[in-house]
Amino acid sequence: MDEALTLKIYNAVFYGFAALAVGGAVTVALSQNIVRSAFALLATLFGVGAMYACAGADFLAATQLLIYVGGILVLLIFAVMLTHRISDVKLSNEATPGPLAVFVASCVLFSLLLTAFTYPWKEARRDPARIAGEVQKVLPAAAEAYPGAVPAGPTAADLAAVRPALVVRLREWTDLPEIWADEVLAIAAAPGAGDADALRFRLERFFANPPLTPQIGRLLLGRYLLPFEVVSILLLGALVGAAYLARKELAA
Amino acid sequence: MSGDWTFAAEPLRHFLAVSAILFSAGLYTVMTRRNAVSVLMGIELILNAANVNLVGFAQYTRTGMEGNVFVVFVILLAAAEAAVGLAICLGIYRNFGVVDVDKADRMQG
Repeated sequence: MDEALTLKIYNAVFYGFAALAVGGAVTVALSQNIVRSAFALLATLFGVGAMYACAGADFLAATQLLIYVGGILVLLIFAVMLTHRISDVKLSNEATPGPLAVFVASCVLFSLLLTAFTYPWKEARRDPARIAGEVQKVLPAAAEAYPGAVPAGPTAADLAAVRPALVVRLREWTDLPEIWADEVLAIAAAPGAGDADALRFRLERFFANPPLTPQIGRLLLGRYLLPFEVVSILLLGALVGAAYLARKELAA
Repeated sequence: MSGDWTFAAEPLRHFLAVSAILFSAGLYTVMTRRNAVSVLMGIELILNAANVNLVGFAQYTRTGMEGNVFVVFVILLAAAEAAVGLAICLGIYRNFGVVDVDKADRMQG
């Protein structure tokens, strides 16, 4: 597919969802109708989830949609509906906008945007082409039977033999080289991977968006086990607290 | 022919810009709204702004994958805080009849 067209489509998708998120946020801030604010928040959360997907964080996009939209936003809409009399819903979101609030918010916005656009961030762009090329050198080359034939893919024994070297090579680019090595070997063992160009294309696609879920899982149960357990205790406390606070009072 | 699969010139800056706008909108919401549930919506906007920042840095700089784990924790904490906050809003509604933060100004009763 044409590179420039891919880039244009990607840009359009990202800007579209960013505009959705920003438009929703401004509507939440300024709308007079609380139900419209709640649904604008839905648009913001959805746009932010799509932006996570554009960045390659697929697990976070799914988590955002499940928990934020499907949990928190639904709870917010329940609260909106339960804390109003029927006649109130239309003009229920009065605000007291003073010049001070506008000034503070715009100062914060200005300073954040200034930092974002003038600080020389050190971006490290992934270069999937280079990584794919280096990895393909490690993988066993398929033997060409006769000119013009589609070469058969490498055998399982070949791939198993290559695995240690692959793990060592992948350690440059990731903290979890074993998981990536398994995935790369799965790509190399797939049908049609005997063709060097097809293999290179598939490896490039893999390294452009490496799998995030196993990495998060390894980190949560490895290095960040303590915060994970503490958060589960906090969730238990929140559960008990919310149930207690919202309980129905018994008639005395 | 394959080159970088990045978009525009500086993807990180786009994430930071969106995060800045979301944060200011959330801050304005928290400061000016009288409805307590709207204030909670503003807090959710602020948390999402922080999340967008974290994801941008995790994916586009050499910060590493820990930024994504941090996002998971922020989402968890936002869920816990929204649950408790909304239970409190229901309590305010029961005691005062409205969820107006300006009117909930007594501690007793």
